[in-house]
Amino acid sequence: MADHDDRLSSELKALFAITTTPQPSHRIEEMTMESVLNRRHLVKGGLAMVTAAGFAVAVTVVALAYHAHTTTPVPAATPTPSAVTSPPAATFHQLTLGAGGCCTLTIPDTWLVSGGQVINSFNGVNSGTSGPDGEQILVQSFPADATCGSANPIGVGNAEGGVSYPSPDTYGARASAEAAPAPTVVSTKPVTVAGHAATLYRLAPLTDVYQTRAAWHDMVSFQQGNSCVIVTGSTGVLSASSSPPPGVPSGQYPGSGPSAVAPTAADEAAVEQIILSATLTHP
Amino acid sequence: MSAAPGHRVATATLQEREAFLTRAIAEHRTRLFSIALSILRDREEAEDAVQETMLKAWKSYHGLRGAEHSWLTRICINHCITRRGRALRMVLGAAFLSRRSAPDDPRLTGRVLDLDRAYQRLSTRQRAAIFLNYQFGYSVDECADLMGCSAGSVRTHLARGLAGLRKEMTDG
Repeated sequence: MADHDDRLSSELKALFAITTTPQPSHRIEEMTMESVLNRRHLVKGGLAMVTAAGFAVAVTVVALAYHAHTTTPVPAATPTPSAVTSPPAATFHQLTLGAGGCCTLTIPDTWLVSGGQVINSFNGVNSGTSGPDGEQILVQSFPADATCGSANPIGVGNAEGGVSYPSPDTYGARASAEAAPAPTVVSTKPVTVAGHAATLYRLAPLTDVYQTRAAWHDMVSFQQGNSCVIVTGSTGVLSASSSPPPGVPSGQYPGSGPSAVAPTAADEAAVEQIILSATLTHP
Repeated sequence: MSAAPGHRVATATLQEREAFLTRAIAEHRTRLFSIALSILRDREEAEDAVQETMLKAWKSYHGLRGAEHSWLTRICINHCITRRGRALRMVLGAAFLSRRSAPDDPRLTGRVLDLDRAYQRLSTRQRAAIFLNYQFGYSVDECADLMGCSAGSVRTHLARGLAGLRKEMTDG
């Protein structure tokens, strides 16, 4: 562009000299592979929620129109105040399970849930089942005669099927062969995970370990969100329902298989490391 | 940095893609942030743009040809001028994100500050064309390649953008 206005040209260069040396951005400086890939889930989850909300509105409108079309108007009843649900407290929730029990709870900002033969989780952003502030955790335990595996899939997947499932062959075989009494908490250990107070539980008896798939998106889901499930067993079994930390091959992290010996301090430290590795990134 | 000769990008393993992404973030994030910020003039949008650039690079890594540097730059600029971030944020609204309009850069004063405000009133494509042409000295054809449009479009964006700036600076 030979006809650049000299003054404008010099002023533009002065402007760009400043804008191309921006003040530091924490988000850019702290950008990691995990944070980049988490964004994929966040955007997909957001779009899925918007789509789901739109669909729900459309269904509601159609239903109301149908209802208005097929019913005789009646005088409106005196309106009653709707129930007000207080937001969940920003505290850790502990869940007690019964044998064969299955329940859900919502916790506000992540963390640790424990207590069950199988614990699975999905986060609200991906699944669209809870708000961005909430986290829904599904915890299941199974009776002694439970038929697990493919006939009774354990866990809840998100829209992408990306949340951990136990392998049917490993879990199912063991679950059908062993009694699975409900574990009880025998001790707890406070830990701090990314500045959040959390609790590491030791359960007994722990008769099962399941191995999650070490698929990439499992780890991503986990890091995106939020939930971290750790089970420690006095029988010497450590199990973490997360994928292994980055760089650690599946099956080679503490707790990836049954053990006859009590967990060592190193094992527990490693489990804590898994928590740290798996849950640091919260959107 | 360019892909190593003989590097089998098309059959890259997950580990290779991870290594690429990690390296690309480390080497290019600051530069891409500068470019995105200069075009978008909004820090949060620029941060989004860098992240989207890295994500797109990750997804389309198998399509990497030639210099990694240029490839990432092209992705970033294309994202800046075709982004949906603002629309998406409007849809998602306050449920997820609360954003404020970016304040003026405190380092800008006098006529340069006026120019920046005038520059921000241009369209993103006009800003991109002016930025690439004036800051990096790219030719119209090179700008067209980076922006993914024709040379004629770049000329139009440049002419209209510069006219807009001159008018604002004269009137102001």
